[in-house]
Amino acid sequence: MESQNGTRNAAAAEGSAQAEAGRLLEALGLTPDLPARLIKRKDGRPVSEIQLGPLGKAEDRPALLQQLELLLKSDVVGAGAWLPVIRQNQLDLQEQASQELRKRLVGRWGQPIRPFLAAIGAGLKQVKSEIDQESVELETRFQQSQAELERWQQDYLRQKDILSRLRTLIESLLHTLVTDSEAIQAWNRRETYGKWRDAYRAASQLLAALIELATRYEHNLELLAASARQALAQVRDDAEQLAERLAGAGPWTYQPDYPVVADLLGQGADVTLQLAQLIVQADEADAGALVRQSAELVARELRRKLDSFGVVQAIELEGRDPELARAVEGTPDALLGVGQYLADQTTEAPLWRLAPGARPRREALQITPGGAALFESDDVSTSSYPGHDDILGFCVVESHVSMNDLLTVQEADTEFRAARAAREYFVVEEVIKEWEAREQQPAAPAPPFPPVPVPLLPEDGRRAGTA
Amino acid sequence: MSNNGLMVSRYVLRRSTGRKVQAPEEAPAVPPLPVLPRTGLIGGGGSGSEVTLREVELIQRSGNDVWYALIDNDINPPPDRVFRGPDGTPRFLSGSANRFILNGEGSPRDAVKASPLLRERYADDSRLLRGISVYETYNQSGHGGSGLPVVGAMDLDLSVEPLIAFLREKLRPLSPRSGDRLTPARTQLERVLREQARHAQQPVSERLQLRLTAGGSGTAGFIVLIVGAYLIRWTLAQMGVSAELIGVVLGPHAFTGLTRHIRPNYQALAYTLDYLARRGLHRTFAHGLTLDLSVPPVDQLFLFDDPTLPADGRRVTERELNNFYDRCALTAHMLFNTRAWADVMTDTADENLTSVTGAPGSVPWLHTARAAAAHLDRQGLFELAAQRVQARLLEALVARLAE
Repeated sequence: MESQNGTRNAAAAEGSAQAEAGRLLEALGLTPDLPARLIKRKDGRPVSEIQLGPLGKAEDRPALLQQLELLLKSDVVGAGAWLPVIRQNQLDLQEQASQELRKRLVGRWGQPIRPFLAAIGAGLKQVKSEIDQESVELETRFQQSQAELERWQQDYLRQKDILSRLRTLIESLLHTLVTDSEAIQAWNRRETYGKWRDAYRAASQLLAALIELATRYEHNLELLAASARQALAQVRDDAEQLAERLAGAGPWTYQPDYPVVADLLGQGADVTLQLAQLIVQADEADAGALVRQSAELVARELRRKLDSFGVVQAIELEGRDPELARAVEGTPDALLGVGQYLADQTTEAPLWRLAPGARPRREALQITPGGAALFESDDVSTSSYPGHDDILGFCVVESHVSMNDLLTVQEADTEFRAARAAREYFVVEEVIKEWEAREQQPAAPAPPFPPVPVPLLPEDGRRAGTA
Repeated sequence: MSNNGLMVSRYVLRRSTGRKVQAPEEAPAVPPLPVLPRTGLIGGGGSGSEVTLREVELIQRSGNDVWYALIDNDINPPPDRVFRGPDGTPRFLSGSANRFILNGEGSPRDAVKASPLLRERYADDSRLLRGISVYETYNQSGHGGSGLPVVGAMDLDLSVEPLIAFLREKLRPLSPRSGDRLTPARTQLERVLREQARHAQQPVSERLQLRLTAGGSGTAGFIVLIVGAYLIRWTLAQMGVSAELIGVVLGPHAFTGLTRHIRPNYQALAYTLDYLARRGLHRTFAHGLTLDLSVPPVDQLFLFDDPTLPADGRRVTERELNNFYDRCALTAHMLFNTRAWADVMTDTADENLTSVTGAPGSVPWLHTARAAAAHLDRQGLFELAAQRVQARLLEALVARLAE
């Protein structure tokens, strides 16, 4: 059933593509009537060729003597009038058709491209075939007219004296008063066939150029498919390595989940249209160029988003991850959670070991990018790291402690004295003298043991970030 | 050299410096980053260098550069660092750059004998070498100090002149006068009055902040903190540079098990720093310089440690150590390279500590800090988002072209 549906869908798509291709060719005038279009001036009137004959039958007929002169011309004389028109029309229509084809390909980004391109190519080839056939016939007729006229011209030139020649010419012209002279008719036919021959040739060239364009797109699609697969493998690998490097870059206490935030940022970056335009303009399907160019397209979109995006924004964005909402109950405040985590990291273990009587002055600070408090707490003040919206910190400082307050030093005193009995550890003579002078005094009472750790932050729930 | 006529063979071990990163052979031209004004970093010893380089990396990843120098007595540099710059381009930080090696040639134990002062200071029967066997200090120079601060002291004593020259050259860009074309003062009175006027005009907040980071349980870091800091102060004063000097001492829990001298060294350093905070340093050097500075070695002293280390209670692992260095660098970056420290200072009544004559251990000049930070690599996010959108487009294109 699925394959039948697939076949039906493919057939429907192909039929639709053919119909659209046909409409496009029709709209552009790329039909068997193309030559007629090429000989039209801007005002829509076709360019007309010179015709000989009796005066008075047409206002644009050359004068008698001029006709006599034209009759002896060995080749068409009107090309100077119709060729520029045909050439300009050919160029204009080729440019118009190319642009329209690109536009249609871009517009079809969401639909199969290959059937459409194939239909365009087939349609163009069909029209060209008909035009080429017609062109062959025109050439034959042109040659026949040319041969006929040449025979008359050769007969005329074989006459020796000028009086005989003049009589032949006048007779030919006078003949046209009663009947159409064969020479005149052949000349007129030659001009007409000459004009149409050039129009048909131009039409064939135009169609050949468009066929080549369509063929190049089709060929490019093959190469693009291969290079796209290669580029995809490369960019996936690069992304994986970069994500690993970012995750492992210490010594930060906390970093956002880069792949999650990256995907949330990338949502809505709609560069499909730009990429479609890029592909139809690509002359070479080079994987490296494709990746670089698509990277530039994507980068432009993302750079705009990241202009004022710092660590706080990254945390908040990650907090809106739908996966997180499914995993964690309620509506957690991600920024508060991270802030609390940072605060806890500074207090979960003692900073140093102090004697029971020690009363250090303690200060806790949240360090925010702009210096504005992100968290409220009576015990926490705010500091800043100006110009660095990529860092959010928490710091605890304890001060006003003397050596006698250090339990680390007090506990090691006995061990030190014993070690020093065996060898010297001081390196300044004056210190040795003072030490030895103190040694001779009675020893101070030992501190109570085991020591009682000094709480570092109040345990009354008023911690950073807690309301 | 032999000990009692016997050649003693031993394995001299040094801590692994980790994987050496090869710089790309044809590194693309990397655009220079704007240098942070009024900031300088000095890393003393191996641990100090590790943290300093990591902080430099963080500063560069944030879009700035910073002046820094490394001082050590181990010729093996810290590992190079390769990372993404703020614009996504790869950046390379050499562990060998801006580095001064204390006492780069010859054995310090032999070299000190060339100076009467040092010969006396480090005589075999001197107080400083009490209980320390010759073979323990007879290192080839440039190979650290095996956890003995006195080796660092000898190395520094042997290197004072070149160290001062190094500091003078390296600190010159940080001098506010580096662009001045002042005419030399004609008299000492003129020089003194000019200096006072300049100092009065320069607000505290705009003074140079020079941070000195070093491990508290080794050799080079140890001596850089207690003697090197004064040499830095003296050199800055000679150059007319007013600076706030901040010391950062690392350890000791984070270095547990690396040598058997970790805790005793730290104790000795703690007592020495406390003494110096009260009494200052009065020391004569071999080339004739005498420092008589009744000020602390640094204006503010931070202790960075992790009391939970090591996890197994016996010896810190390489991973734990690297994580510790990372956290220290992050804390330093968030505290000092943002406005956090300036805001803390304005909230407190403490000014820079001056010499305090009080009981030993009573100087309340110690700080600690810990920071945590969330970071977004915006350029990386941009690139990744672009790649993923491209992938979707190419998937659609492949499907469309297959029809």
